[in-house]
Amino acid sequence: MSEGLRSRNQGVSSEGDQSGRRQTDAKTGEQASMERETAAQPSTSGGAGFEQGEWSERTASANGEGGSFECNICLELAQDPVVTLCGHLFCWPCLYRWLRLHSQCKECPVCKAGVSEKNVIPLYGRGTSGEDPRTKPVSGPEIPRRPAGQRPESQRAPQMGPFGFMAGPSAQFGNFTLSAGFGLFPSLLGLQWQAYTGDPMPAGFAAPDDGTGVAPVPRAALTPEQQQQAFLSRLLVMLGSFVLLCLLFF
Amino acid sequence: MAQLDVNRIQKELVEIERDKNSGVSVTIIGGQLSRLTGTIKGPIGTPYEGGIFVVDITLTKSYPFEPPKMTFKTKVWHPNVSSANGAICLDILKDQWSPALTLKTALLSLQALLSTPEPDDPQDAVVAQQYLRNYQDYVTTARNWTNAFATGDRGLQEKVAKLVEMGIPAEAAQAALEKAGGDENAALEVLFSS
Ligand SMILES: [Zn+2]
Ligand SMILES: [Zn+2]
Repeated sequence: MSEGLRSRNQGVSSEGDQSGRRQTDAKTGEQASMERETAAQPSTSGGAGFEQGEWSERTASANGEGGSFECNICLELAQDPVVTLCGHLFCWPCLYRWLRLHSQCKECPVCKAGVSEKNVIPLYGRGTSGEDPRTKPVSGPEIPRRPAGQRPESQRAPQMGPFGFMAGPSAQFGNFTLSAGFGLFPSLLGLQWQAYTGDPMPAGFAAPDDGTGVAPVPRAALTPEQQQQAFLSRLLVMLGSFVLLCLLFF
Repeated sequence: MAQLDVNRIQKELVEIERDKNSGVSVTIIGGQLSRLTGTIKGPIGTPYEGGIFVVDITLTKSYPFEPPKMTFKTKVWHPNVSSANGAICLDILKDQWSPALTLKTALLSLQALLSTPEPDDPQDAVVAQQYLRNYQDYVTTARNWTNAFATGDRGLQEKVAKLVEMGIPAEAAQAALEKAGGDENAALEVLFSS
């Protein structure tokens, strides 16, 4: 287990660009390093050493068109990211400007579902600077602070320890912790990142035909699962070190 | 507001450049990112097949929050395009615009509009009437216009040049060709009958 992790970590420095996206199964570590998969399970090597810029470059180049974390308005890696209830990602300043100044019916730019400034969800990634977005220079209207996230009550069962969500065959690092990780972030399951493919868009941009406010979303280039995995890769580094500690100490 | 979102426009241009098979392209006019030219391939199986249609694109400072201004520079015979000035009637270029759309998706929507005219919401009433009442005539005219004006500048310019060689002023030659739907002989008839 720990060997597998180490070999993966070496992969980062030697393989550079592709390393974070390659599938390296703990059992077949050496073998797997030969084959490359474009968007596979995140290896634990993905996050720790990467600077923000490097990361954005990697996502942009590896995903080809429309990286998963690019704002749907400015097309850059989302700054002060917020996600709408319909699952579309924006920079808060971009979305605010659209809703406040230009949108006639307060609709999601991507899918035309109803969006209000109140019901967007802020995304707090690891290592956010805590800088107040309002202090950043923004042209146009003054952009208020992002709405705060909601914190529903945890449903974790009391008898589980601090690593309860990882109980069971923790040696199988890859898939198992991933799916458990999803349980930790139920709201993420609803996210659907949108990326334009080459498909011609019909003249009438798809509008919701029911009252639910949820409209069909164009197919993403990557499956949601792959994208979520990519998203969680950084998180997994932390989980990975916990597992290592567990193995070392118990 | 004060500034054109240069980053976004450049990203769009790179993306369009990367996807050569999309059937649309965008080029910059004279180094200014607010003035662009797009091209659309006429959809296969339509009277516009084989044509390359040039679209004038102007971006306001509020792009992408406001739609790009697009007009056909190439003459098009289509119910939703003015046969006189190329103005386009398409909802996403007006109130249905969204900042998640791009120049590429807008051009692809124009391409889709060429395939599926909406004569009930016309820009050019004459064409729309013809489309509804005499569909075959519409197809013929649209195809002639495609051949005359959308087969690259060469097609039209060659024809104009031929007529100029015959002693006809270039402007009159072009006007006659347009009137005759690009048919040289018909253009001659127009010229000599007047
Ligand atoms: Zn943005
Ligand atoms: Zn949406």
